[in-house]
Amino acid sequence: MTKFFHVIISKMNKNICLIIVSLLWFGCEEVFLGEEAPNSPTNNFEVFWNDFDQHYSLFKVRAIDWNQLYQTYRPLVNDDMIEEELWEVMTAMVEHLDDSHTTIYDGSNQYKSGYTLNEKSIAEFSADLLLSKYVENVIEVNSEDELLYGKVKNKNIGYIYLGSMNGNNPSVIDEVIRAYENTDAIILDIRQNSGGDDRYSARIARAFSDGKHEIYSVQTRNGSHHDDFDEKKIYHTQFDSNNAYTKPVIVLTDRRTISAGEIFLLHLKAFDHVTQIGDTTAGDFSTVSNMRFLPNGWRYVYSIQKFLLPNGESLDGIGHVPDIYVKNTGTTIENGKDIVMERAIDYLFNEFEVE
Amino acid sequence: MNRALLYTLFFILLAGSIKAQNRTNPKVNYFKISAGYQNNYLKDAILSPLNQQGNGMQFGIAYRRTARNILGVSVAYAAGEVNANETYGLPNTYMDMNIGLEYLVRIANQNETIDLHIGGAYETKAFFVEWNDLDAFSYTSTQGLTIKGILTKRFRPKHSIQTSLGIPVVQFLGRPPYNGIDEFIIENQDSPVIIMLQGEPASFGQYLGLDWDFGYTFQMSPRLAWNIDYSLSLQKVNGRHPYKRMSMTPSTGISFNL
Repeated sequence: MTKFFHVIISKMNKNICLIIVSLLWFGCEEVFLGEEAPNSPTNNFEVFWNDFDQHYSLFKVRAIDWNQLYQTYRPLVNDDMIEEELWEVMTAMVEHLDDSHTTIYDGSNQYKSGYTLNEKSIAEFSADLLLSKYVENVIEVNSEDELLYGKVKNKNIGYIYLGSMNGNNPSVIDEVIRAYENTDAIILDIRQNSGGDDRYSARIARAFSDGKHEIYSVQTRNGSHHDDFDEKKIYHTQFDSNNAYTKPVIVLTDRRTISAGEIFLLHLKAFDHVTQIGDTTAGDFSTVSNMRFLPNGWRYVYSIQKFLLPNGESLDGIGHVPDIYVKNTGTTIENGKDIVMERAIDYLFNEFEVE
Repeated sequence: MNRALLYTLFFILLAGSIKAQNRTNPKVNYFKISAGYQNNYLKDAILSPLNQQGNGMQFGIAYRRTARNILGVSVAYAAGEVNANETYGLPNTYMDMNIGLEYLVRIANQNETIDLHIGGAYETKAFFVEWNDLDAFSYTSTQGLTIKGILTKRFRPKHSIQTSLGIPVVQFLGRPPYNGIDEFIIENQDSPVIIMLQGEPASFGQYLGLDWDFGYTFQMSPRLAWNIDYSLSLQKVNGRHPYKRMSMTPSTGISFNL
């Protein structure tokens, strides 16, 4: 065998060796990687549309005809258009999804699909008003992103505000619950909750659990067809009988309660002692995709999963409809009234004689 | 890249006439530390439609016992940034980890100046790239057997060159799921090793790799040697979300004879 090598090698010109080594060192990467995707408006549109077509998870759930949208918007794109015009076309197309987990960024601007009501609700909540008028002895838990608690003024009602489902130590909720052992009820406020980690939601919800219930299933899209999904993963509420608050709990929601905040509600609404008061939630449950990139440097994300209730229904695009619908307006807030909070206090008095 | 070209290169590097002899080399055990500058070129459809390129530092340690045969173990770690032209202000950070255990048998020797070893290695490789604190990420991990050849030529008592070529043959390949994330990743997001070491057997049709290394060693003293190396690594994953990576790393190091 070595003789064979020797014959072959001895016939090779040493210069050829040098050329090959040089090729490996310089410029070879372009040959190896291949050409970049062209950065033209038409190609950016095609990459964008195709990426959604191949990966977005909620076409069926939200009854979206993505091919029809291509027929509508593709003719509006040409290689002579400026980026602002392309932005208009693409944002108009994804607005049909009505899914605020679909977001496009161009480096300085951000567009969220179906976000009008969510954005409007920002003015329908005031933390300052809440803390100054309705809640006292407020303690902020620094280890968590947005967790604070106190007591409703002049009532034997605990108050917890949870603005995010992120933090370092969700089990701190057990200490909060212990502090409320002698209260008659808790108002759990998740208005403006921006979501986060579903596991965090599950752990916080455990503090209010009355048992183990099947609550939802998750499937992630895993193929090129719009109905290609992996196996269902079924989730249940967690339960710890030694650390559970099972007196009346009122959970306050608004249009901006979203994602892991809504997963939290899936847990809570399985418990008989929980009542939802406020506005319907955003209706966006899926985990958001990794950030995606276009050849022009724009970025975007979208939904990649579907969440189904045990009966097979989806709340995507619908949200959690409250047991008692009431919402603030910008005017009520400006007038110093949080009517959602007041409705919750009245409800506890009327239904449970809590005062 | 034309695979035939690369295989040809391997044979070209088997320069000189090689005749098998039965003499035995003195045992040499050494421990090597090295540092290099890794240049990466990346195309990963899970991460981005844009080609990425960038660089970072690589550090390595290795132990090798050479007698008639070679037994070695090595660990290399690199970290740095890769970038695409259109997102130059938003670089991706990457980590690259290689762990290898090799055993090669001498199959040819000429006048105690040229050795050819052929054998196998078990290698674990993991390449992880993320953008903006996990807003986007991708990874490629492989574990498995590699066929490896090492050719060593000693010029004078203190000078030698060595080249090696490794081609993975049986590999467990780990790549992100179809959509980049799934419930398994979400549930194990605090344990990236568990995620990255998930894999499936990959055929040649799915995964191709190649590692080529060329090095020069100057024996400064009986105990100490100085090394200069250049390594080229190619990886290619076929499928719906193709992946290609080329890394070129010039490095230098010190070997301590034990």
